[in-house]
Amino acid sequence: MRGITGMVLLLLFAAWLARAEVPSIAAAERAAAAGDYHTAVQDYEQALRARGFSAPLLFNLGNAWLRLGKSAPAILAYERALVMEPGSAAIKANLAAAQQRAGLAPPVVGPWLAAARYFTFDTYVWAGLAAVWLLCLALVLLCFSGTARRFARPLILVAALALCVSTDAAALCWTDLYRAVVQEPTVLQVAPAASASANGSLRAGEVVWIQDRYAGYEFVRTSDGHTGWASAAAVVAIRTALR
Amino acid sequence: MAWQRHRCWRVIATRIAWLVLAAGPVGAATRFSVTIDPPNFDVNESAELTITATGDEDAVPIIPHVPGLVINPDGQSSSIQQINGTVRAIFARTYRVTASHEGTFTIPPIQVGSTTTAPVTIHVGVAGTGSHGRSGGDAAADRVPPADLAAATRAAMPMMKVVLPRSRLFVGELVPIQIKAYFREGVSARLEGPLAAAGDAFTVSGLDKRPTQTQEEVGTVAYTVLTWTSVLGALKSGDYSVGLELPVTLNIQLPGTDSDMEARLRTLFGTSARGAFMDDSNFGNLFGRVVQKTVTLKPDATQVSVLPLPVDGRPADFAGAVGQFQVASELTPTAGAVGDPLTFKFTVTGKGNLARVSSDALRDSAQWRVYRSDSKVTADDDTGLQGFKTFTQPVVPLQAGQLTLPGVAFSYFDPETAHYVTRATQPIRVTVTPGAAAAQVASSLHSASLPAGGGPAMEGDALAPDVVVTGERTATLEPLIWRPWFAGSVLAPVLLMLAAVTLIRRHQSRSGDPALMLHAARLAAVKINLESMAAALNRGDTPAFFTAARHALQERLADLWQVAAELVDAKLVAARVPGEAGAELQAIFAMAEKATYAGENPGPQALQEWQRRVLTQMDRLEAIA
Repeated sequence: MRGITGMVLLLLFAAWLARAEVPSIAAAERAAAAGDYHTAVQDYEQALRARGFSAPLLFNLGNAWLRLGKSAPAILAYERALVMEPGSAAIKANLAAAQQRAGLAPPVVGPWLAAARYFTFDTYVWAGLAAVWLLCLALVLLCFSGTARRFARPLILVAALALCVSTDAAALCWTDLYRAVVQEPTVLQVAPAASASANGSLRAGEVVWIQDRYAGYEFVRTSDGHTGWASAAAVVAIRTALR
Repeated sequence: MAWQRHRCWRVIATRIAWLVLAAGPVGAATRFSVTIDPPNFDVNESAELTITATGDEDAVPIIPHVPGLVINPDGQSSSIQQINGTVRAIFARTYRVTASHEGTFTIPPIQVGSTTTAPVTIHVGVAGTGSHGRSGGDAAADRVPPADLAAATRAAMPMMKVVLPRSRLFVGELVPIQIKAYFREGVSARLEGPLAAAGDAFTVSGLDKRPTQTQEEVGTVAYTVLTWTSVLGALKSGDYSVGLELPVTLNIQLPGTDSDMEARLRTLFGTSARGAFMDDSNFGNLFGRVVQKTVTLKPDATQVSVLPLPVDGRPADFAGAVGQFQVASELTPTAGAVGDPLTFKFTVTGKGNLARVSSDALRDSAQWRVYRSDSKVTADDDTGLQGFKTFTQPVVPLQAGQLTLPGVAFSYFDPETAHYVTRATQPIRVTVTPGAAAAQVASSLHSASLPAGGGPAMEGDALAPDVVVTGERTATLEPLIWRPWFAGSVLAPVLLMLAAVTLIRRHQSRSGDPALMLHAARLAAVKINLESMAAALNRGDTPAFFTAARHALQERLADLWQVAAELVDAKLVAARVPGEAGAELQAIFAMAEKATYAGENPGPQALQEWQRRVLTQMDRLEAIA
């Protein structure tokens, strides 16, 4: 009994210690308020690693990076924040400011893609999944007679419509899943090897699309259609998990 | 024959290389090598690229993209080699290489595993020109006196001419040029490579295009003329001749070298020793009357004076454009809000060195934020001499109101008038409304900004201020569809639906089947009769007991035999159930007759025994029947 109690106390103490090591977000906010953006960036990033991604946290992190004069990590943080809150005008405004400071032209987005980006990609996936469940339920109801069967037909119509809309919207946003932000100026190479010749360059903060990866290199496509291999250290995917 | 000898040597060399390769790295780590066979081929041909791994490990090569080449996998093989007791594997991957146009290509180092191979250079010739470096007829040439050969070569020698619009150019000027190669009628010739410019005074573009072929007569001699239409550009001032080179292999007909075979054919076919087929160079070659000679064709001296561009009157923004041009600009959309990106296009149209046309276009101002421009040249003709260049530049208005986008100036040198010209576009007026985005930002920040006193003062940097960190958190931004459980969540409803539909359909089909319904009814009747039998036993009602027992047995046997229940009696049982089991059933039926119709009453103890016997038979009926 004593042993168990001791173990529980030990675990609680370890958890307290672990929590104590994670800097509080309030500390990061205080550092940012005091103009100590170096500390703010460090604290925000540690909090992010310990507690996970959140749109406000990424937004504040982006602000801190931008005030340090680092546009590329700021753009990455804002882009990640937009993944979670695609409709936020504040994030969009600061992202535009970061792109302007990086000397990057505002991206031209077509009307359909702009409309599709009103919700997140995952929202469309959830909607599509719900539509699949609803469709299956409706098909089961179709096997019965009477009231259940009467409900089935409109349900099928609604589910099929929801499935089509969510699938189309997800397809429009599909390439967004492979977006990445260039963190430092780097060259594009014809092959994933240090000795391969260069065939272009990437600017810090530029958004590219990852199409393949091999041995520490990412095969990327730029917004103007150029392709090539870039060092994986210089290109960071927007949609990623905490390492 | 000579090319066959070369090919033979190449095969031998390849095999020697294989042996060296195989013998070299005994006991060493895996080595990768790359070979291409043949290294020279034509556009409509292909070569085989082989990447060989000699050692203990294999890795998939990363084939780089080479503009103009198509490299497709063609197969792979592996073999085991034993040298001095050391066994090693050899993996070979082959790729088929084709080219979209002629030229010299370099396949960069190919990464295989953790190493890279050496680069490979390929020479691709014009389709049908046979640029394998073959030559033939040397033996025939050896048998011909040098004087005859020289005379025959002079007679067959083609000539090249350059046609220029004028002989005085300015530095940077582009002019159309025609290059004509004249081949005497009847002389067979083959181009051994593309037409190439020589010297550093001019550039000649468009030489990689296929020449047009026409027939012309010069004096009394008929010629086949190949014509290249391209563009000549003057690079530096001075007097120069246009340098061009065209490697050609000629099949030269030699006089007076009829062989014995030809003489015999003359006897055979009559006096006309030079019949139609005999004039064919291939037949001539067969008899050794034709020699092949490779020469480099150069044009007759064409002197061109290149003048420097004048310094006087040179505009400050002149960047080297020479020709005749017009400019235009447009802005789309023509109205917008503060912060909205608009697209400014500046187009230079005309004839001249469009590639040298450059423009700073617009620059940042208090009213406009201007981004880097992208340019694109669109040629109106094959030579690229005429066309337009478009500069596309994103611009963002920084103020609301009636703004003016300034005009853009562009200067060039007109070689016709020998003067500089500056052209400018008209300013564009734009109506800019206050940005809706700014209002949204302000409202969204108002609800999410930090509490009073805790928020940093950020008005100075024009950024939306920090917000209170609340709301949902997630350990990953990876999309749902990349997560392992997602496929299950899609499949689950489908599988559940299929299972449910299957069960429902099965239930419905069973409930509508008359045979199944009769079966169920009979089982229910058996159950009811057994319950009645037990109840009759409890109250000591012997006739009711045996009546229920007989009915239960009748229903069960009728169900098993698929007959009507009233047809089941002791006689049918005796016919269908032989042996002891049949006797036991007959005994039950007989006792039921006696109890029902003769009033026999065996007593409560015996009834219990009869119940046991009935139940035992009920249990055994399935097997008995």
